[in-house]
Amino acid sequence: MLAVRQVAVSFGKTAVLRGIDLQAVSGEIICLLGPSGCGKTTLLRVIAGLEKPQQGEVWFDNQLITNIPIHQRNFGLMFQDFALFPHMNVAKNVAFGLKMQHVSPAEQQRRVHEVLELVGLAELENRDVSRLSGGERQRVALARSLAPNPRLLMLDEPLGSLDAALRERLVVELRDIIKRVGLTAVYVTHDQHEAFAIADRIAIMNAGLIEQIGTPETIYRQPSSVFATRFLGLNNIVPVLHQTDGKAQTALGDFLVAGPADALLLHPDGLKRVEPDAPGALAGTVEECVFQGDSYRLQLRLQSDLIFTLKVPSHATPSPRPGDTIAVCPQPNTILPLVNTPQL
Amino acid sequence: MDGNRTAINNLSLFLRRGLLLAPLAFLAVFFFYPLLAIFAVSLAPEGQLDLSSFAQIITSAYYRDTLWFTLWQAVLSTLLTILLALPGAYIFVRYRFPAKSLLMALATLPFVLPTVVVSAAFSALIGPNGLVNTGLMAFFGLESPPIQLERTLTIILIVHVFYNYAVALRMLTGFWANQNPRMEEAARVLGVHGWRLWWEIRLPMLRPALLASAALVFIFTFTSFGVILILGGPHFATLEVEIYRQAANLFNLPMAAALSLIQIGLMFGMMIFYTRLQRRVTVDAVSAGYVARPPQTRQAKWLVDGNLALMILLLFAPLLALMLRSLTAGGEGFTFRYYQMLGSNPRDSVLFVPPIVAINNSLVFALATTVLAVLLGLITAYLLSGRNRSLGAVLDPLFMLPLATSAVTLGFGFIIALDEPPLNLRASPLLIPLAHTLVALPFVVRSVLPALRGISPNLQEAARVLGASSGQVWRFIDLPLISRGIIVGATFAFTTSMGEFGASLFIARPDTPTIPVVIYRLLGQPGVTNYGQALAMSTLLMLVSALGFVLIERIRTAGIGEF
Repeated sequence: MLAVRQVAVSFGKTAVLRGIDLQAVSGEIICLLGPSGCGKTTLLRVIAGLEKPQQGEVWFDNQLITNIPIHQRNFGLMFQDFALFPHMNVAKNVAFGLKMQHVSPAEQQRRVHEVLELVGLAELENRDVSRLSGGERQRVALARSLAPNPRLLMLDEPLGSLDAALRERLVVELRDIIKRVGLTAVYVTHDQHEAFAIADRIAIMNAGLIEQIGTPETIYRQPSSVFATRFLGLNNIVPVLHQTDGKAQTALGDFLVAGPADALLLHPDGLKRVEPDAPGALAGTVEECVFQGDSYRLQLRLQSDLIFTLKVPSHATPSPRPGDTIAVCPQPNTILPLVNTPQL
Repeated sequence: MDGNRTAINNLSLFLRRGLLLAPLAFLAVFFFYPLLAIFAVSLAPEGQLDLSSFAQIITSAYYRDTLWFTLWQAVLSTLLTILLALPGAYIFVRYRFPAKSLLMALATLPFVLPTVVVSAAFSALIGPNGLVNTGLMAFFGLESPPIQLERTLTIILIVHVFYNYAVALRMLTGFWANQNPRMEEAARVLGVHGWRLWWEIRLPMLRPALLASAALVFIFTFTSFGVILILGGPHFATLEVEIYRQAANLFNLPMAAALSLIQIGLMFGMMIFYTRLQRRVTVDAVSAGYVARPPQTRQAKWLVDGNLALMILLLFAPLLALMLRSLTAGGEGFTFRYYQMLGSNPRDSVLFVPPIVAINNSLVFALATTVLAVLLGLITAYLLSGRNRSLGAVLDPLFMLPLATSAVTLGFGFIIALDEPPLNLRASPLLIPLAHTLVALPFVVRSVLPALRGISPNLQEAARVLGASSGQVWRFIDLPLISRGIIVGATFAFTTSMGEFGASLFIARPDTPTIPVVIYRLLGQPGVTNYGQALAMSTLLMLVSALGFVLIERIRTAGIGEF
């Protein structure tokens, strides 16, 4: 199992990682999710040994590995641009790690065959890497990382250079392969849908810190910080003006919340359309109404010019129109306290 | 009215076509005609097919040895150059250190220095009368110079490395810096470390650049002339030196022509090989590339310092020694005596004229060369950039051919072709500028052509629509956009002409010598007076070349990044 403790890295005066704690149990896929510049790739490179942290420790299987050179870690790393060696064909690329471990040629061949079979490229063994499609390159890169039986697999935006349709298909396949091999994996991406699809747990990163860590469901249903919430595209946020014994005052009224809050999220999935005179109803003007098949996505302007998004089933009649005034009411367990990211 | 106008249009069209033919005519008369003369003299010296010269080359151990020496000294020089340039390229790609880009620019300086200057510089540093030897003799009270490198293979190799180090350094660094750094990281994660990184990843990935730079250095050292002639002494002869000796000393024209023919064949073969390799080295600068960081570990610092020390020692020590010794050659302290003596012509001199006349000659020749090369180069560039792409594809390599022909071959072709009817230019002062133009023309074309190709036709059309005549389009659109290319090309032409040695040695008449020819004659004579004058003159020529070089570098790199 992997444990990162209080890792800090800075490049010159820029702090890139500001004390990271992260753990992954054996066989778990952890996803580092965040915008570019949040430090997720640097954290991955620290775990790989490509970057040395100025502070903190990296442990693996109860062994301190911070000072163990890269080539002795036996980890696998897949780059966004795949970094396939252009002077070798598919089989040689895949066999490279085995060759470095002085595995016998016969065993190399067997293993190359095995992993290429696993990624579904058995017939391309002797192909030149320059003659592969994007998807094939991605599989060869995966096969190359898997061939030496790494103790940990790291993937740095491995689908980032592929088009959306291919990405959606490959991410499922990727998870399937990693799970079949039973590897512990750290997966870096900026795409939440990719993260939801592949991860057992997601760590949302921002400005060199982990903001929240949890299962995809928890992350989506109960984001805990303002940053994480906005990053996931959940924008129904109302600032807390004042808080006294579990009661938070906002421009939309008082809400009961557990724990301290800088702001509240009224989760769009919990907003239900109600009659204007229902208790707790919030009235607003429809600004925009987009038909999305099974539902309409509405933009609602509430008091204090707060703009909320919500979905209403499309079979509801009559359909809302821009300019209509409607009322919504949040379900009690979908009002979530959010905190701000600590400043440097 | 209309008829009149059509006639004028026809005339201008005719003139324009005629103008476009000028470079082709020039090439035909001053390149292909002499080349044909070499063919004729080598294959049929008396008007009938006679291959006895070739038979002699094949059967005689002497000529076989010359060929063999030409080959292996080139191979050895190439290996040494690449071996030294590789760690240099490594530190330029990986590390950031003070004055990096300045150093890279300065490292290219040797490339524009005439061989006579460089030979004089190395003689001033480690020759028997050089800085190191006189210093050691004075310090230890020795009778004779302790370092005896003159006329050895060692000095030839050192000078070849001096010349070609930067060529290899530039090519390797440029290619390497644009490679994907993730490759190496991927290999390290997969278990490679230490020296194995070089064998498994770095060298294989550098292969195209290694091959291309090696091919180029090989071509340069295979055709080495001045260095071998001046520093190697009579024991060493490359093919190039042998052609000169056969023609100028032994008057064995059929043999010289036969050797030239072999040289031409080999050079064309190597140039084709090189251009093929070169094409694979062109990199798309789009990829991420390496980011240079300051050296952190002790090992890295040592590597950077070691390489910089080597560069400075190899590249700048000889040039500094040259300047210093030109002021102190007699050992009587600092004096400008040797510079003053350039104006006089003592009776026992080996020269027909005072050296200062040679400076005047060189300047006049260089100016004539510049004008001629720029005019022809401009027209050629237009010819090559024209809409007719298939014409350009045929003509482009044609105009590069003089580059693939050694200077000695060009000079030799001139003297056997242009000294008798139908074209007798033996006494013409134009002969040297014509030969120099041939050498400089490819550089001018290469300098102007990219700028010209970069002009979008939309610009010209926009100017037309706004009312500009075709002359005005050229004056206000084309000219400003290609002016930098023209200046670079002109500077190239000027410095090339000032320093050109191989062809000039053949064609320069005794009473109109050029600077390099005079330096060569002075260096071949005993006596500190001749030596001091040679160094003084070399210093002047070096400063001219360096000035031209600085100008070129400044214009070329203005607004462009690190390299």
